[in-house]
Amino acid sequence: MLLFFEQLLNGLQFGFMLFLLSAGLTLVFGVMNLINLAHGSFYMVGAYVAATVMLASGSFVLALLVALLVAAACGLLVEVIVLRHLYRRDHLDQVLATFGLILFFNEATRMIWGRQPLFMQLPEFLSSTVEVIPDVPYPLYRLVIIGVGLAVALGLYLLINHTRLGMRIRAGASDRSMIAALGVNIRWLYSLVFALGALLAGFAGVMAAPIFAVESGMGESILILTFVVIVIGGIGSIKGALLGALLVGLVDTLGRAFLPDLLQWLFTTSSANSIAASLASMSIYILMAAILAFKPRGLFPV
Amino acid sequence: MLILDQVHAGYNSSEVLHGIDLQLQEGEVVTLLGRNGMGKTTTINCIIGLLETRSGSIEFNGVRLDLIASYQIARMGVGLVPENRRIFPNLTVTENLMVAAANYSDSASPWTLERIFRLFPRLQERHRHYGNQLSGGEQQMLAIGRALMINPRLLILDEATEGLAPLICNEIWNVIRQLKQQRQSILIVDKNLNTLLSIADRYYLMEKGEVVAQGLATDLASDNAMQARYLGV
Repeated sequence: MLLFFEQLLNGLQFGFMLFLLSAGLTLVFGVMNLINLAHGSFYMVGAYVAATVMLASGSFVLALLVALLVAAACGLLVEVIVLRHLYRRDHLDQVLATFGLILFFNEATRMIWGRQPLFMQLPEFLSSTVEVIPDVPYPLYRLVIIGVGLAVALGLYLLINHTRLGMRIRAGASDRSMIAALGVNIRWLYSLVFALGALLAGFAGVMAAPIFAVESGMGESILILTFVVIVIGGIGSIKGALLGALLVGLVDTLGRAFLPDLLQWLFTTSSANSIAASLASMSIYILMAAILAFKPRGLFPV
Repeated sequence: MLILDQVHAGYNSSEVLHGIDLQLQEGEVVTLLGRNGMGKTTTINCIIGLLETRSGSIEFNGVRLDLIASYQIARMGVGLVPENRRIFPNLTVTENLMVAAANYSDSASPWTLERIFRLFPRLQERHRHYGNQLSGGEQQMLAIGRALMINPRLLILDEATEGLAPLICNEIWNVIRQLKQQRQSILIVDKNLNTLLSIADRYYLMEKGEVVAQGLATDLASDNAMQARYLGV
């Protein structure tokens, strides 16, 4: 039972990290109708920059700020230089161009940081453990990720639903040329949305850096999960991204942790283990297929 | 205030406008007449920058509109009430009004939410509803309110009352009369010829992408032969 709660927290933590990544992707996809495969690259940039600044300065806060700034700047540059020309093109062109960007970013990180993965030390104030559940020490840092995810979700909710900028983003999502005809500079708005998405991806990268190895190509494995999240949630919906991310995080984590035990009731230990392993890695896709069967446009279609 | 000089435009390979000349003075209400498919909406889309012109020029208070982006045209003070209203369905009534609100004409007494609600009390009743929950008439009121909220120097209405119930139409015509009294410059397209000619100062009559006649609205109102020739069914 204690193990279950611990895994539940792990799942939530993973879910909130996925949310940071998905929020930007779903906004860009939903509002700008742009498929950006290079979204994971901003995650990677965030992780690399944070690890490097942390190593050099020893300050986690500084590492976080610099990483966010660099990720957002990368996003802005990519939007202005490359993607701006692709909005009117079809999705295949966008996929090709952003795939090219992935290769560019991966090669660039290899050139700058080399092939060896980096590891990021946690600062002292974040490396303690807390007993959320009595007698089960849980890493404070993972709780911080959950808290950060919640705060970002709340912040985005307020931004999208209760500010003028959010109104314009929503209006632009439903009728781009009309909002332009009312005097809103939609290009600038798109650049801003894109930079915000990149910043959030960079944020996820910073959060991930002390947990995973920081290496070239780290963005791609998580990008696939991110796409699953936004498809489940409904493309363009922040609410959907939050729920989808938590679902995927929980199903993935709990599946890996408990499927072997569950299947032992049905099969012998060895076959249970091998079936569980493959089922666990399939579980989120099964979840996606099941949800799309009933809600073809995701949980919260926009 | 607004001068179109030999404007040519079209879609893909076909040319729709073959050299439109049109002028509108400050404080004037001008109507664009013609049967469906004669180029009225295309002309309007050229003015607001939703369609690129192929040649000719569009000048507004001395600035070439055909050379700048749509959002810059709006900021010059051109407010559009588009065909099919194009209300933002995922924004509430209040948000639709506020989303682009600005004072592009530097008006001393700019439009506010309260003034729009006084103009269209129905919108106040429904201010929390989303755009897609409104009736056609309410959407039209909202589209007019939304355009007024940028405080335009020139208000353009494309199909001001199309498909609306007679009572709602009357309400909208009354508002347009009020706007005219406040010396709002208006370029308007509509099917309701009699009402239109009673409000407008001048008219331009379009056929097959060209202006074939123009003059005072009162003259056309009394010229049945002309009406039948270009506008009769």
